[in-house]
Amino acid sequence: MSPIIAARGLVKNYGETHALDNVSFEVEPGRIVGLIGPNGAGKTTALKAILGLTPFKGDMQVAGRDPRVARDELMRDVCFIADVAVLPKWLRVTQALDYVEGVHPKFQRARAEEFLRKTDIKMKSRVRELSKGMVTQLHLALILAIDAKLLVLDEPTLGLDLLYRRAFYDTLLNDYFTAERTIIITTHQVEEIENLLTDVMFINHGKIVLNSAVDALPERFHQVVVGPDKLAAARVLNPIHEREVFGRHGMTFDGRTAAELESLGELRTPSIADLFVAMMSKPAQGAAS
Amino acid sequence: MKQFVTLIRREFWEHRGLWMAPLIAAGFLIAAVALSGLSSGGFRISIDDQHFNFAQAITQDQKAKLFGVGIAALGLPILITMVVVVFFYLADAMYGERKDRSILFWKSMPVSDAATVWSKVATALAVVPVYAWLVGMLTVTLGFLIGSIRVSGTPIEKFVAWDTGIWFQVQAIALANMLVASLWYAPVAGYMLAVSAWARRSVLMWITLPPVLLVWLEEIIFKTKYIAAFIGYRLAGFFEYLGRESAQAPGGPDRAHEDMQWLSERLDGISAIDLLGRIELWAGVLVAIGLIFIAIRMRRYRDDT
Repeated sequence: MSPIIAARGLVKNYGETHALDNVSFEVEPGRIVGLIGPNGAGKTTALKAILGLTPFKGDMQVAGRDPRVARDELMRDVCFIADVAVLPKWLRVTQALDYVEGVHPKFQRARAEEFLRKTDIKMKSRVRELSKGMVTQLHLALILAIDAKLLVLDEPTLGLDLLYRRAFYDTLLNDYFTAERTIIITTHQVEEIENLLTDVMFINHGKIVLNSAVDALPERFHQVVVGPDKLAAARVLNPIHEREVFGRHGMTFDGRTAAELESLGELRTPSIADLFVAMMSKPAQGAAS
Repeated sequence: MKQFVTLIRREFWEHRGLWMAPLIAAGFLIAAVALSGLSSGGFRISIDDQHFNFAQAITQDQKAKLFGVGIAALGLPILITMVVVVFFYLADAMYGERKDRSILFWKSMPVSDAATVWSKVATALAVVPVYAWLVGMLTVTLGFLIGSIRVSGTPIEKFVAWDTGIWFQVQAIALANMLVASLWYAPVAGYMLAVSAWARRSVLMWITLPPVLLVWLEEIIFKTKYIAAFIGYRLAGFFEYLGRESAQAPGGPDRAHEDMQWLSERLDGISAIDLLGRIELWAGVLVAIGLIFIAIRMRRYRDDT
């Protein structure tokens, strides 16, 4: 299957800052990709480039189209929730349904209404009368009813309480995701989405520092808790990250085999959150070792 | 087409003043006709003892034309209300969606920037004017009915008579004028949309500042007023054209009969349809199209950041 997103040599600068520094990647259909990076790393710029919301240099095809050419055509196959609460305050729930029904050829109103019936949202309410969680539910209801190929979520659950966040991702997995669909998510709350991702992409200073299937992570990355006696032996193997807790050292290794590390201590596969911390603080550690 | 209709509906949801304000103005007018004193109420043209001798004979033709001028004048406040509402609408049309960040929602839909901007142009220059015209039509008709009931049995009664032919004529002229005015003011609307799409804040200031500054600079540096004249002609030219014969209005208590004569001639002079033959109207339309394209380009990559 041809990739849903194919990006080659993306460059975007804001003055001296490289928001995208020669970025290339591909996303296959049927994946759930976490685009993860610290603030100002270039996540939002990358998403905006995918969505045709910002100009950039380089080649990009999204669902077979250049997003810079015709955003309106692209949006028939691509949905996005840019941020929580960007639905206009004056909009009524019925108007939101009328609007999307009026402009989107792939919107099934009945589906959205069915989803809304399961929530506390009243059809006559205006967005300004809804809680933040309900606004996200409404937005989700609209998107679930659109038969799109790619869904882009930029911090979709920011500021929501745990119940809404859980429900949001459960709905996404159960009611939306299929083998033909692709989801790209950025979030700060890595722990919350790591179980649903099939792929991770770490971005920092406008560069992609990791792009891997989640399945491939256990083979490549290992975490070992090393006692003081084996510290020197462990450091020889070049851990990408070292963290001292209660006199013991948690070390993360990239590209070492289990056989090499077994003697140092008990092996674990780092969580995506652990990896994120390890890789984002990598330059400092590299200088130290 | 379905999409364009939806986009226009959206404008009316967001800017409720567009449909509410003309209705409120109509309500005030009807209330004025129904409740005010007879000498000042009913028709806005003052026909009282001071100005007019009721014993004087009035011809059928004069009566018909008085009817026409009367209903035209009664509809005028609705049009003025509409102009004010459309002005504020245009200032906010491109800016509001960026201010509340909803632009990211609108842009997630398969709607082009061109369709969005043109839907706003159509709302301001076609849909709202035609809507205001319809409201005006109903208001003057209802106002006339109420007014004629109120004056029945008074000396004014004989000046008040329904005339279907004139009614149609006035409505047709009003609609034609409205559409000519839309073309005449299209560059102003285009300019406002472009500024609204560009400004990051204080849209009204950015709309007024450049022309005022240019006029001022020209006066300081060149001691001339060409820009002021140019802008003034665009803003007031339409109404100057409409009132082109009114300068000769006689007026005065002793000249009531001439007043009557003058009034009845007005009806022939209130059509602006001939403006369509003026080159400056069409030049303005071209400028408007250019400014609308600027607004479309501007919306492409503008958002909250």
